[in-house]
Amino acid sequence: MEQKEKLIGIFVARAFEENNLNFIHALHRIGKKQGYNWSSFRWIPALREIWK
Amino acid sequence: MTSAEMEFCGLAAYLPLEAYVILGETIKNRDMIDCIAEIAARRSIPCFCMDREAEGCYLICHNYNSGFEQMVRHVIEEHGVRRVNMLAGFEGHELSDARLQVFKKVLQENGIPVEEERIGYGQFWETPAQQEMERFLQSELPMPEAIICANDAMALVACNVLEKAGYRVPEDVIVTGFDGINDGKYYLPTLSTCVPDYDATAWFILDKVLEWRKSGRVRPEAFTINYVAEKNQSCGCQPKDNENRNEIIRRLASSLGDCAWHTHAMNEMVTGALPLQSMEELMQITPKTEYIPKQYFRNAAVKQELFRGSIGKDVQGSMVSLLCGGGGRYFSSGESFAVKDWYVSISIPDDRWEIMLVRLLNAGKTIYGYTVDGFKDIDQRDMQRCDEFSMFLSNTINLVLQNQQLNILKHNLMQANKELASLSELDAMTELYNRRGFYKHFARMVAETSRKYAVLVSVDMNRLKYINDNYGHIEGDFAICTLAHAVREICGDEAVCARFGGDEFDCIIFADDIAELTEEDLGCRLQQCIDETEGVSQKPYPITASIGVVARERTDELDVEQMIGKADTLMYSNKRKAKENRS
Repeated sequence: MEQKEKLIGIFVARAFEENNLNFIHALHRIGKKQGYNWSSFRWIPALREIWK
Repeated sequence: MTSAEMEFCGLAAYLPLEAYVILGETIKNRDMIDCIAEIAARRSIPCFCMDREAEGCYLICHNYNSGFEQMVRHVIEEHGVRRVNMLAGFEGHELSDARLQVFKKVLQENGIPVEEERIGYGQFWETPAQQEMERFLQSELPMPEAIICANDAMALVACNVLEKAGYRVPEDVIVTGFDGINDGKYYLPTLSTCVPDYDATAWFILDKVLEWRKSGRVRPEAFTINYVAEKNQSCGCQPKDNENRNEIIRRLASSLGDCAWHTHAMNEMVTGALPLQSMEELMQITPKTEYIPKQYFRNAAVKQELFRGSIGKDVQGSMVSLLCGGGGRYFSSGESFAVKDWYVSISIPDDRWEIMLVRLLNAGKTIYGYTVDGFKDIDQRDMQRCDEFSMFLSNTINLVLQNQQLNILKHNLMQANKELASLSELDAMTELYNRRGFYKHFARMVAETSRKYAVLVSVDMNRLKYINDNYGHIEGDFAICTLAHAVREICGDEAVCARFGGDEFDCIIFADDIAELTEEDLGCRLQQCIDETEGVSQKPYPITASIGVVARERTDELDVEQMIGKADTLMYSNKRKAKENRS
């Protein structure tokens, strides 16, 4: 129960770059070692920019 | 920002979060970012915002100029390449120009002359990159030993063009990219590229959260995400093997199969909802359409107001659980709870979850509720599948609400039609039937009744013109209404009574015994009823009427017109007699 309450929230629109998922995975993988879970809040698709 | 988005942000406020991370570049709405930052500030917890500045937040920015030099030096200095081409982006584009300058600088530092013909502008995407690659192949300059690309998309085009032209990557030509997109990992040879150092970013975030836990204070600062060279097969640093590829193909094939299967399942959910008229009905079928076993749990809840008050009290901010469960077992609890308790209300059958995805259920700016999915780990297809579920469920809810609305409209329309039909048969002043209503209900009564006789009573007021001329039309109307009331009283409930004209009434009475339905009896009862009507005794004028009565055995061939004609004749005859008696 204690572990579950260590949560980090990530806010992201529905349409996102692959790198965002890579970032989320990194945060999950490393945060997990310290007992963190994460939650993702996603909403209405945003227009996707082609170029950074 | 729409109220829907605002409400959605609000959900996070009720979750025991230790930090917020905003992927600012994906969120085009500036107000949304500010809203999330504001909630974090109110809760005094750290908030990290990527690639967008926000008040009170740790700014985390990609440094798109980093990493590229590392890759160029790796190709030239470690692989010893001397003939190098570059596929840049747009001419004049800030990032493209910066990478091109790095390329030229490293060449010069290594004593390699910059040949403009070896530079192409592939504009960061396939078609122009292909054209530039074909130009490289047709050039009279010696074939390059390496092609360095400003992004992965162009690097993959370069690999394809080289392969078709009979060159091997990396044995004949080294190819490198930038970005670290998934396509580069799936390609064989796997693409050597530059990837953002997200491990360092994650460590930064966790360090700052730890600092906040210890000190209880948030001290925003900036952090830069640098790109690092990832040396894979396309530069020759990793041996080529097919094992990884087989696994990738298996996963991609599995994802494709899952797409087809899930589309089918979602279609079933929508088509199953086509005949539904209410959210209550939807709540019954939703768990039956849920076949996804991978989630540790799945919940969906909608606003209570969608149930039109049939579940619990319709209090603002209340939600109703539409679906909950996990491991292939789902049910609809119908439980009602305050939105602030949404996290507590999630019934989690398995507490091994590490990742929770929360999504909006909405149609445009109208928010219906949310879905929550719990996972142990997650890939892109899992995320897509959850997105598909929330979108299809939103559409399904929308469909049911439309049906619900149509049903209400249909009911109201039918009610209005019924009232209109009724009004079209009634006389507005006396509320007796009009001529149309008389004939319709006469036909109905003839068909329905088993009474032996039909008695037609024709009634006409005496001296209405005298009342109108001497006391006005309001008094005339009073007299007509009084007579109408008396006619209805003496004819009884089974009679069909109508006002045919100004002061003319016709009634049909069905009875087994007509002994007391004579002209004399009915005339006496009519006058008695008139005289007993409230207000009549105070009037300065008398209200009287003449009647004519015709009785026939009830048969299917009953001729009502003939009866009316005969009764009218008798009534006018009686009227004349009364007039003669008065004079």
